[in-house]
Amino acid sequence: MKTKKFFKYLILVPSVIFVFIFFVYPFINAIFIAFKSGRGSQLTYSGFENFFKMINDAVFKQAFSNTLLFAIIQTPIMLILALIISLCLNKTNSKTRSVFITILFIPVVISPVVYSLFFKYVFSNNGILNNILIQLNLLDNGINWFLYENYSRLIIIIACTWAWTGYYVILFSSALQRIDKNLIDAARLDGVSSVKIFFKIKLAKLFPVILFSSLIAFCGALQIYAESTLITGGKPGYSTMSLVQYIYNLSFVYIPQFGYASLLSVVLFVICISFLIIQLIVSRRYEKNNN
Amino acid sequence: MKKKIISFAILFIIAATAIISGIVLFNRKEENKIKIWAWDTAVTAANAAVEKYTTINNDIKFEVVDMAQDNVVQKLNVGLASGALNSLPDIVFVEDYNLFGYIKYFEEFFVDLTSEIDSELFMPFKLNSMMQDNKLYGVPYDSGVSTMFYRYDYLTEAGYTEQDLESITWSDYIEIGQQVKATTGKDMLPIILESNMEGRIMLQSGGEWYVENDGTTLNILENESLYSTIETIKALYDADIVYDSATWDDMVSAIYNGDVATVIGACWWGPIIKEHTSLSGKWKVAKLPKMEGNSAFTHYSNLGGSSWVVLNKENKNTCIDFLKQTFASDNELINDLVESIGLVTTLKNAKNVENYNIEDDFWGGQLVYKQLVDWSEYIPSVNYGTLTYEIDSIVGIKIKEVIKNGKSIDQAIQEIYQLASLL
Repeated sequence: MKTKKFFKYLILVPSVIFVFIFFVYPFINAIFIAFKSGRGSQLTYSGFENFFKMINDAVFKQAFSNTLLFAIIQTPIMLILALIISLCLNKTNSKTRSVFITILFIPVVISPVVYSLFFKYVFSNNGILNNILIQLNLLDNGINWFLYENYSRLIIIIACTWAWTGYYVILFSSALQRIDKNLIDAARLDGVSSVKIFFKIKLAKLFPVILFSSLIAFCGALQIYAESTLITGGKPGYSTMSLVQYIYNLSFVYIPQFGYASLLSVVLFVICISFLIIQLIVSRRYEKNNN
Repeated sequence: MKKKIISFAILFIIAATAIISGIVLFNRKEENKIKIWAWDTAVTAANAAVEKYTTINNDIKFEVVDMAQDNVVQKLNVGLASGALNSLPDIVFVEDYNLFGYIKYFEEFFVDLTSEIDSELFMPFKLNSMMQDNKLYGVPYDSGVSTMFYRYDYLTEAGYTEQDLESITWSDYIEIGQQVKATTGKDMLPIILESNMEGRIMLQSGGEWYVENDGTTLNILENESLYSTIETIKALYDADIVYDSATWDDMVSAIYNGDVATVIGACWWGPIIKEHTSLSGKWKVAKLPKMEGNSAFTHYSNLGGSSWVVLNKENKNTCIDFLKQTFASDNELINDLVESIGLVTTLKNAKNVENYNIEDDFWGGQLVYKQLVDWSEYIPSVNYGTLTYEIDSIVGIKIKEVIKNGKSIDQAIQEIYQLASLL
């Protein structure tokens, strides 16, 4: 019995070591480095200097609010879209469903680099979209989309939504499939309206999945990097610069300020963790109410 | 029991492989090669130099690694900051805008070349950004001499001759631009406001930079050249002669499609324009327009340009000898590179090499490269300092606010100063 237990732990050892070396240690180290300031290898302990710098840093504030804006707008759009698509697919037979899901899932497996370049091309001055609009006589001259802040933000939101909706369609569809058909049939027999069935049965059953998805999607959107870097490069101005992109710039594009960049990474981590905690509290409460 | 044995065996195999591969990796003795990192045409140049050098010293092995500039910068930043010199090459190609930052913050990792390379051999404008405490840390390579490329056919149509474009000011340029737009309907020049390439050209043509010559003290509030630069760009927009681009691709396609009459840019636009062979005979170059209001303002400037630096590793002496024999002295090599990649050299002695004097039909017989290399010598010297790209991104944004949102120039300069002093 004892050897069996010992063996269990032995099996765990490699992965625990791996996690410690590549996740726990760097993270703890990052917290220490966050209290150092300076450039290049000239890092010195400076207490809360980086923190005060962050509070006064206009670029950080802009990057932070951009990132939050992306997350707040993109997450609901994507989830509602995924929900609508999966509800529609739920009515079809399993063959059609799997064909559509496969098609919708393709963007998820395409590298962000590839689709970012594709979006950049579609919206460029001589791009597909402008050509179509000119052909349809809707425009005389192409619009230079990337010169405008809001268009640029919109393009990034469209790109992220395009890329990730398929993933959530799969989650929602399988959850919808798991709902007991008898429950809905019984409700119908009792003369419950479709709207009520949707809200009281389907949505209620989907709630845990939606909660989980919204957390994953929100945290994913907070960490957006490839799209903003490759499609707009954070421009015009700092209007599409994301927090991760700013951290990257501070660390690798200019003479590195690893201390300050570490602080911002820790801040991003704290934000993500707080959302996780909120989600946990909400789902606990939900379970309690249901029981 | 059997299962347990199998699991143990698998675990053992995995652990053994990991340990063995670890030992092999750590003990791997790399063949003693001199590694060079470079990008674009500098790779061709490095390969040509290696070929020439190894015909004499055939016992030395080289490896030229072709890498995107962004990757070189990123790898260099990480390698230097972590002190992991063995992850870095022996010689690296560095853009002058970044060079002083490396010297300032990572001086111990670079080889002082003062006693080996004579800085007098090179054009003076290259040197400020690669010297600290009178020590030289780089071997200058290409010039980013800036010029006005213009469509000869459009300007002729608008009634201008080659002489009319010699040594003009920006107000002349704007006047010509309006005439060109009235007759041909074409915009005068493409600008990507936020990249601020034209801005950097104008700024240096006025003999100043964002920082003083020490490379760190900000020079923004009292910077007449910066004020004039913003004023000039604003005037260009006010005159409605700018082709407003958002991306590099927009700009290049505007040139290829014949949507613009001139390009204000560095010499490296030459090969890009020339790539479109259907434009043959249509483009020429003239001196950069000059800003007015200060006797220090000139017709000459620089945009970009890079140099070779040697890292403080075991092969440094060979590297120094290599650079000394090639990019710091070999006119024949430079002559070959003029032909193959259109190099505009900063090696003073090489400025009269034969290939600069060969007429090219693409440029309508004009000795474009000869002119560019001659103008290079007059480029005002500045020290680009440690923060060029960081400050420049702020400046680009503020210039845009002046032009698009009607912000006053004084206000913009104040804001640039505030943001730059927080860096």
